[in-house]
Amino acid sequence: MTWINKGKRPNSVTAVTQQLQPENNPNVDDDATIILTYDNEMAILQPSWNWPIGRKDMELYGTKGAIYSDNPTQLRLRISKGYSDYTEETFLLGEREEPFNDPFAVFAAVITGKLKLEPFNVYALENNIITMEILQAAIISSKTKKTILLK
Amino acid sequence: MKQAFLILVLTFLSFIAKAQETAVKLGVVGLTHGHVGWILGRESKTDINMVGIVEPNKVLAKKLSTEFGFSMDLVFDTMDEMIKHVKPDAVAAFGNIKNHLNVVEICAPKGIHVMVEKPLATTFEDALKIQSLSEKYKIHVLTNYETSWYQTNVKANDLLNNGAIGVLRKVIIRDGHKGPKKIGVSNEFLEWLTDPELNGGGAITDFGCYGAN
Repeated sequence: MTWINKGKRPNSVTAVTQQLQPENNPNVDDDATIILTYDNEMAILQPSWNWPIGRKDMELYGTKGAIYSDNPTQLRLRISKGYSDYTEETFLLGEREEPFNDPFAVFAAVITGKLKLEPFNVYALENNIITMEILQAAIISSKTKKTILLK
Repeated sequence: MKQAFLILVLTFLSFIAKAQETAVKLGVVGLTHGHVGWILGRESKTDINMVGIVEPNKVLAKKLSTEFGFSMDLVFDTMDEMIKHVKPDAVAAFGNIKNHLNVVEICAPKGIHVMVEKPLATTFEDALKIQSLSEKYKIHVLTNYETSWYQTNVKANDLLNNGAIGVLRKVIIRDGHKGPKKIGVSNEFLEWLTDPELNGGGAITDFGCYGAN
């Protein structure tokens, strides 16, 4: 979200956690839902150790349509038509171009100065400081059962 | 003709040698993380190469040395020993998340760049300490996420920025799996991944970071 929002921090963080496998994860949560609000949009994050099928996917909803990033290679773009109808286009993509297909190549390129990362890129420290601020707020929210406002 | 060919071969070999010399020297700190195979299994390339490993658990190191074919001579007990012997330009951390701060504390004053596996730290406070060390000593600190290699995420962001779906209103990001125990991660990995101190939390940190970033 921090990358998509070009480094913008959320206004509020609300999280609910559960422990659905106490026998396997006795000391930590294993299921969470984190709700982030921004000025004109919101995000729902669903990190879990209880998905039956491993996943890392994303859905973006705009005023005119939706983008489904299903997996590393398949993306679907839906454009709204009328009430619930839509047109759908599927993209099948390959690997990212060098050096982005290999994190160690990215690391080397940053060190040698061949590559300059934008501050809100997911590798960048500025992004990950905000990411940690969100996660910390989410943990506090889940423990206190309160919404945390980020100043 | 033969001579010309020989000169060509020698030129090529010296070019390879030079490339090896200029490759970034990478130390690997910790072997307990399940993703460590990403570097151990990486072909030798001219951009960055592994020169040393820190792992006090010699049984684990031996097991991985057999699996990936690196020499046990590369394995040291402490970061200080590894740094003294192989003088890395950079390190990649593949241990528990709490240790990321410790890695940066040792590397930053020596000007050694750091890449950690996601998330950056176990607490926001540790993350801020990492940031101040990075700024003070002018080192890069990168965080590695598997999803940063997904072309689909790049394409999704491009489509959004080009106005394909209008103005963004709602994002749903789902990450995870059946659980570390059920997918059969190694004992060395499971031990810290399910420890709130060493991992910062459970699924909320392990997979929440993929959405928050």
